[in-house]
Amino acid sequence: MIKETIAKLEKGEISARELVSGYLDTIKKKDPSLNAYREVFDDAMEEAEKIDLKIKHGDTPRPLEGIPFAIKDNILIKGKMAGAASKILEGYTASYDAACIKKLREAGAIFLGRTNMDEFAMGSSTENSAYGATKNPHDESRVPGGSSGGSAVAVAADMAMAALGSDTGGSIRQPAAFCGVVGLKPTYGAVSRSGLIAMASSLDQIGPIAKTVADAEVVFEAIKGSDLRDATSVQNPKSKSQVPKVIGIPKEYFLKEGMDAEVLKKVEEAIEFLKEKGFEIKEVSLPYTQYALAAYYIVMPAEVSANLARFDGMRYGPRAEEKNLFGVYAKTREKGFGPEVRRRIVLGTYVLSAGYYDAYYGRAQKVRYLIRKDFENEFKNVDVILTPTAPTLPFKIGEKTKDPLSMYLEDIFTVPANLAGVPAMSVPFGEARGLPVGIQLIAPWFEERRLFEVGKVLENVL
Amino acid sequence: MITPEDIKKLAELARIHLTEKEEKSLEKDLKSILSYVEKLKEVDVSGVHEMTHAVAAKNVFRGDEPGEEDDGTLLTEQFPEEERGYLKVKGVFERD
Repeated sequence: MIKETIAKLEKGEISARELVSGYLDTIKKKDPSLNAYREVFDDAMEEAEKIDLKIKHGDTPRPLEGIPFAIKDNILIKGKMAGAASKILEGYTASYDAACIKKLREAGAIFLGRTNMDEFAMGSSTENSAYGATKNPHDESRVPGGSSGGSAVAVAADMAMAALGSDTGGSIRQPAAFCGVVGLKPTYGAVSRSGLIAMASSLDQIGPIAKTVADAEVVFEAIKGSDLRDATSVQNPKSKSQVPKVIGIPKEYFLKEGMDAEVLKKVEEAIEFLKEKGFEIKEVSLPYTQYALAAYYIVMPAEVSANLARFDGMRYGPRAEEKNLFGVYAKTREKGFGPEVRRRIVLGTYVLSAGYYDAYYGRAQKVRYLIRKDFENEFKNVDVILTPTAPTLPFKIGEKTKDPLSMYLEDIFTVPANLAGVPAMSVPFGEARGLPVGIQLIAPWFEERRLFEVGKVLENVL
Repeated sequence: MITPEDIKKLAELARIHLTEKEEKSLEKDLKSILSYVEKLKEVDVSGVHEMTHAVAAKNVFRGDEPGEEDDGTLLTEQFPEEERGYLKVKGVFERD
């Protein structure tokens, strides 16, 4: 869609203003019930006007010239509010652009608004927002997935052409699967995290949500690269590989228990489809996968408890009144954080406490190494690994909020890629019971190109 | 196993005030999550290194210099309390 749209802009068949006003109209019509946006910016038309002038002037369009974007509420845009859907950041205005925002801007993108999410990206349903749940456009009684639910819905419901999300344990891929769009979690370090409100720093990555694989690719190309403000970001090495031919199916990802039978059927169809298209299918084994979620629920809250210590009512956000400093901290954090955030901070504080480090955090980091090794071993035998993105179809709003563990199990297939740092993408593959199903493709470090190549085959099933 | 006193202590360490009701529900949630992560004990991790980063990390240095966007006003405008342009907080060593 992006390339075709830019071609139309260049030929003068459409203007950036028409494009933006079309999306703004759709937002006005659909968003009151979907609640994908936390805020729609008032300067998008102004930006579109500038771009129209440039095109009229005969400037060659940049890779994202005039493309309207939705941005997750945890990515900073200078001069705009950013809140990670938390009360503790109510009223906070960003003082600088995130690195990826700067790059999108330089590529010609227009920002339509910021999107709803689970508070501080903690959740798999966008129900944990302090500003109300977002609804799935395919069935409004159901969740859109999370935590980047607002971004996925904005794209799925034509309220933005593309969006940015963040993915710590599946927060781009699972909502993309639930909403029938494409979502990419790049290799850890492929995209700068500067300007992303941190959740778990060794796992977080920013990535695109888009209508097509080609669109996700254009956005990824625009935002990737090293940045001095994120010491873990690197210059992406050039892909060395041939065209991917062999697809691995890890037997550990095909559980009978806890897995929707119809989702499983769709995944099997996808495998058959790729076989017909000439790919070789090979069974592989990732034996430590079964420990991934347990390791994640130690590493992630530990990093959360450290990262969220900065939200104390001192420098920004609302500050509670109390008689001493400790009281101000404790009261501000009680009032500002929602229940899931408080739960993870306390859990993280526990696993990092003196005497428990070796039993929990140290052990989890060792298991993480073994999970990474699993991928290293099998990527000697196959080019890409295919799995379901999520074990279930989009569930009903309220269905899993009472039992945190049942919500955590939503991430069972997406978490291993974050722990290992490998890139993974969810591609829509038809529907089951009238709801979208996503297929997850996983590639070796910095081999996003393989995901795009297989993804382009897969999305053409219809 | 986690005790009610543990929860109180953790809340204090994490600087979060909890109501009694929440202390109880957190105790229950933590127990259930911790019993789930128990399964990591099955794994033989002897001789395995701790993985701290997904990509080989090395030190990266840069000069600590203000960039063009850091004129500071957007930052200081965020202060919940200020006096003559300075951030105002409660005394760190004050008595109750």
